[in-house]
Amino acid sequence: MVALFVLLTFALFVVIDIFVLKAQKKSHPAFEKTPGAVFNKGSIAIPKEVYVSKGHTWAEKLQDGTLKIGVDDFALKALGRLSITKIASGETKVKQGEVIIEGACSNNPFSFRSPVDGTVKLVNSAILNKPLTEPFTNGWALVIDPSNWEMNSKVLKTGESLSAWLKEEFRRLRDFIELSSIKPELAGVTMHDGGNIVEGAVSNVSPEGLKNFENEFLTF
Amino acid sequence: MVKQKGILYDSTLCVGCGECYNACKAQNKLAKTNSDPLRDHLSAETYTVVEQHDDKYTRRMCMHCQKPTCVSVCPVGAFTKTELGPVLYDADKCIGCRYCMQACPHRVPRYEWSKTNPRVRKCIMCYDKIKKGEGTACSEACPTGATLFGDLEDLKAEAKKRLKENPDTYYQHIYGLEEAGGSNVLILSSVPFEKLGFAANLPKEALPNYTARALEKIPGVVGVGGAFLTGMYWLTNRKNKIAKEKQQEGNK
Amino acid sequence: MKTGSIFKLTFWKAVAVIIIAAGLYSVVFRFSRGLGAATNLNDVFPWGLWIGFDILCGVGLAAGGFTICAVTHIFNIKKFEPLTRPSILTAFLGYLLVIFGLLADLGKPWNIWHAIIMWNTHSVMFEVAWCVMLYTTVLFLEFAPVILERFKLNKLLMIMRKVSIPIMMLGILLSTLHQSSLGSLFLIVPTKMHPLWYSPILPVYFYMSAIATGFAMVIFESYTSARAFNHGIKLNLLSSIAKITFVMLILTAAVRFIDLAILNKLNYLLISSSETYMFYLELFIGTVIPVYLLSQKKFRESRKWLYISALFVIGGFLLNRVNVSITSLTGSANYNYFPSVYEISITMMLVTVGMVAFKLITQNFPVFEELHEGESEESEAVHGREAILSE
Repeated sequence: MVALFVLLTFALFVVIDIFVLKAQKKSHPAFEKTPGAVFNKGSIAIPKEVYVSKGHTWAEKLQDGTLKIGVDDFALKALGRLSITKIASGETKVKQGEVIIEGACSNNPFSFRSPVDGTVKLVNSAILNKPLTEPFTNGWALVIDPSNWEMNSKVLKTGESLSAWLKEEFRRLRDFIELSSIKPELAGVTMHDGGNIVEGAVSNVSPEGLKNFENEFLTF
Repeated sequence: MVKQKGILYDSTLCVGCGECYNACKAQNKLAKTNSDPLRDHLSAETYTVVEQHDDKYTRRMCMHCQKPTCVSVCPVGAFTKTELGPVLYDADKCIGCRYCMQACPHRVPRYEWSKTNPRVRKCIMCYDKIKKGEGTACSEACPTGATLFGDLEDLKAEAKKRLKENPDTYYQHIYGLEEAGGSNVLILSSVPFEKLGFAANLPKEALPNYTARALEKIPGVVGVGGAFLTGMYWLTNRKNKIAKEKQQEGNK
Repeated sequence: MKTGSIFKLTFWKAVAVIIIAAGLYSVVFRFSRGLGAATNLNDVFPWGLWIGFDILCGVGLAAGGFTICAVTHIFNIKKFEPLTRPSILTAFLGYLLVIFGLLADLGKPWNIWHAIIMWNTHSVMFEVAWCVMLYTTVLFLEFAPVILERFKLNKLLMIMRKVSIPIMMLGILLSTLHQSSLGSLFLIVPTKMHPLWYSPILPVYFYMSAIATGFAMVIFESYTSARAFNHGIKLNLLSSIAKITFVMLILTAAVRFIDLAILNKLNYLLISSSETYMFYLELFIGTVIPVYLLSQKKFRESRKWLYISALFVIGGFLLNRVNVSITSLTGSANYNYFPSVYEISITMMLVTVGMVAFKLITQNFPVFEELHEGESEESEAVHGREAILSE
């Protein structure tokens, strides 16, 4: 009886702990999926039919020839947490490389650039002002009617070239974090899993580093 | 060499009058715990008790083992086996771990649970009396001669004689002769001892031997373990160094 | 995020304050009214929760300290280095709590120093007492560099670094003796203990199961501190530690069953009694389930299942120690012991105090960051394999 009591008390505390964390909308390190988790090429699933720009925005062709546009998983996971604050409004004409989405991560603004030239047709205002999730599905930001797809798509990555490029982006991000961490030893902490990168690792870099992140990874 | 003293309790002669119980309480200045000696149990205020099992009576008390478990388990040596035979307890040494109570195969030591400075209590075979050559209070009080006090060897001989002379009266076993290495208290009965509530599964070997077998391995464990750890450390350290040197050579 | 962490602190802080307040009241009650009033112990059942949980489980769960030390410093597998300091700290706090638990349990705790001058080398309890004293000292010395680093006492630090290896070896030897001696304590009760648990090799069994649990504790602690300090899980390190646990669990179970077979006790497994059921429960929770989970690579390398496996190992260990010290003895004592509220609340207070102390120390001392010189090369080993999340 005493043995059962001890066991159940132990189990009870473990379970209460998990529920308390849940009530606080935080996750236990054992059960969490987003913040703190390690990510690398294997943990990012980018749909095959998607085109990704050098600024980590994606475009997916819809049946009527328009393009669904959003922020990719790489940027989201590097930042850890991203809220979309502003999306270009309907019927604006945009050029490839022009800012179309604005977001914030721990009060630091980041801008994302259009992968194509065209006209904004639809805006997904449902994703505004809350943490971005499911970036390739419900997390899409807008629909653009492309005006120069043939030319634009040449600089976009897809399929094989996309995964090769992503690999290179991971390597770049690792070096970037190592170079611009506030404390050099923190880099080891953020990349403890055999050189992998922890989600949200970018938030550990210095304020100048944060600006550089946009220049290095989100512009064309 | 002093002759060891002992107690022979022949339950076939016991009438359950409770005189031993009362004499023990008076001798050891123990508080009254029950008006009926036959309905009491061993406690911090009761060193011996008379129990009724159907129509049989039996006494319960410290067996004063030859190789006492309590003496062996006490971390601070609060228990001692005297030359005369009684096992004594020194409350000033005791730290109160109660390992003696946990370990005693006869479940004899009792504790002063209600006190804030508690002692272990048990029969001490009236050590002060027998040192002076007197008998124990219980044996002196016994009206039927069921409880005899005397030299242990004489009592052993007497017990054997009784079993031999009256094989029909007695269950052919002397409880305490060999149980847990033997004790200074011997008990005779007309029925198997478990019917009187005695532990029937006690080994003949003294219990301290059980832990001694583990404890005697300590020097070996320390020696072999120490050597193993040192050797292992040296080996792995060397391996790492060689690997490092090779790496450096490779870099050149 | 920030508001969340404050709220979380208040919840567990409130719980901790309640537990500690209740515990302190129980301590006062225990020392003013005596053991009889404060516990459900009695003459036939002199050892209860404080021995069974505080001492047996406390020491066993501190085993992570010596197992990790052995792996990193004796077997020189340096990649586990980041896990040593937290494990040593846990072990040190664990032992302090064992001592406090002992002080509550002893009838005359003010005489505890008697063990230093009044020797009885035949007593296992004597061995236990000395192991507790010496190993607590050793654990303090093992942890001392952290304190010295914090206050930048570099000269002392140099001296400590020089003697650290002999001290670690001493710690491993003392742990070996101590873990096993807790099993030896029960060798003296062959007639009182249930045959499924009594065995002449109890000390060996205690030692082996402590090693398996020590590694599981390292895994468990890593998750707990990862959460508190937001520094992530060293999953690949923990997965390789889990392999050692896996091997030790199998070895321990094998030794146990061979022993049961040799002593002709297997028939007890077929007798329907509460003891038999508890034995099976212990076996399933502590051995069968974690052995299955850890045998699968996909579970071993998943942060969720690794955590769950560690929980099972620890749960099984708790069951085993309480079974040995309480369940196995209730039958012969013919007394169904269940701890009193005072026993429970003092125990809970000790565990809570330990957790609070761990948190405070890790917040103020460099427990998680180790900046030894020349260590960077070894960290290559950490980069050896990539751990990919399968979730």
